[in-house]
Amino acid sequence: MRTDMNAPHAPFHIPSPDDGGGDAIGMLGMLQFADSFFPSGATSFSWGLESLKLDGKVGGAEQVFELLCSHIEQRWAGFDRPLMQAARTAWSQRGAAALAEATELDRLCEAMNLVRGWRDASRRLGFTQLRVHADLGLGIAQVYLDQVRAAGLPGHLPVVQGLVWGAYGLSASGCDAMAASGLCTTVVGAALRMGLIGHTEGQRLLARTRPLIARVIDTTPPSTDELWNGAPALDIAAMRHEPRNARLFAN
Amino acid sequence: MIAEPALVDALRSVAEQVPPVEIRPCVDLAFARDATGRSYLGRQFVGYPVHVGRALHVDGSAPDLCVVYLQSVSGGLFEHERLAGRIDVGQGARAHVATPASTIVHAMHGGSAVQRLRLVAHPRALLEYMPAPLILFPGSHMVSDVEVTLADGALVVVADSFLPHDPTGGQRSFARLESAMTVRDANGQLLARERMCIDGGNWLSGNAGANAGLRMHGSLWLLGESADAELLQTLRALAEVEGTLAGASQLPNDAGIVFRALAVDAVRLERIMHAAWAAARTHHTGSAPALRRR
Repeated sequence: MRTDMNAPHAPFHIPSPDDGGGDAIGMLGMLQFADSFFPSGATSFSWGLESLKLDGKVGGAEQVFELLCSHIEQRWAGFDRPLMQAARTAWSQRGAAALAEATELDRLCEAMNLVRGWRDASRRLGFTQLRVHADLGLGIAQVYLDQVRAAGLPGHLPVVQGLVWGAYGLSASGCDAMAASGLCTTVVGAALRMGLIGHTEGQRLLARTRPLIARVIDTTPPSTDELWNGAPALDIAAMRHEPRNARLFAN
Repeated sequence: MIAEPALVDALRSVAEQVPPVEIRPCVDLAFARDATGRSYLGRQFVGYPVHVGRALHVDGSAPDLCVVYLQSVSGGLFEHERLAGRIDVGQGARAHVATPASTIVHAMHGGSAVQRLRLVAHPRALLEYMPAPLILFPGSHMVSDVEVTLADGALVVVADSFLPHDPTGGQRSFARLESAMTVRDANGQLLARERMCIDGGNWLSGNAGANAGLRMHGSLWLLGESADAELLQTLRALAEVEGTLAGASQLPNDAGIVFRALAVDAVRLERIMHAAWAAARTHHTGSAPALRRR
């Protein structure tokens, strides 16, 4: 769907599948936006890993894998994913008229992000996505960014992902894969930098998470009335990280 | 090696198994404040399986505080039970509602027990709702839903804890726990919400991200504007209890603070939860609670 809001500005142009090229165009877009080379700001976060390491609860590859599984199955599947997909669906069905719905989703995401460390990270990453895509010429990103700046909207990452990636016409399963693999890559990257694993082990862990991600993607996301999470150790890790002075990562 | 992920499948089957059943109100309490400043139980309705004890004024550090214990006459929560309750605390009144002992959530065979509770705190009221932990028996599926309405200047403290337990001494797990907490202001505006869903098998595996091998869990919700940054600092400075992992954070929309703890056993969980509650009471009233320990 094309509207004035998502029409790219010259000279930068990111084609959508509607421009021809079909699946290949969409695939290339996904590879670009999910690549760690994309300036998403994600490398500043360890999503609880650094905190659990400092508390002696994570010390090797197997526990890093458990943490990845918890993030995907106990947090992303029931919380971030349904918010992202709701925002994407709203955009796909209503275009620019989906902004009001995205605003509601954003506020719900704020109310259900109970731990400040998670909340701040989600806002920061959402803001960065909006800024970069606005700079690339995506109209809806600029409009939403203006609302975040002027009206105090939180601009949470899953809502922004759904809105922005939806505006590029990326598929629902493609958005799922990008978000889940981006999260896993961030955690594995943090584990590498903390010396918990080596490069090859990192790649092995990413491969091991694929069946779980695929199983989650294969299910229908819960409705926004049924958002859930089930990983209290991750919450406590983020809580304990907030007051720490000496730390590598923001959460 | 981590267990095969099961929650996605579990969610699918649970949705099919839970039939819509009417929820029966079994507790309706309303506290008020008299002309002398003492709080009293102004209205009470209770039905099976709840028994309400007499209103007490037994907290030496807060003699005006009305203390009420709710008891279960049925010996716990059973499959297909659907219970609802409401506790109102009027303007300026102070109430402490608790259970004298843990509540057993008995073994189930594919069904669930549902408990819904609405807590309403009017301006400058204090409500401490401190039930002892749920003890989750093998195969049990507990659904708990607490909604708090918070007026200006009110403080609501809610304890929410669970302990998995296999009475045969084995390693059988509860089936599932769904625990929701919703906080709204007096106009109904959503301030904070959590819906924690835990799959028993995954919990028992001791996954690093789920519970880091510490299987007793407790949350203490400190809701209201007086649950501020100073209290957060106090909670973070609490002495570490060996065998526990605890933290606290400010809730969104200035709703208050959530304190959360995992522990290796029930005794240590009780110790750290009590310390957090005592810190909150001291912050709010200037003195620690002087109620007898359960």
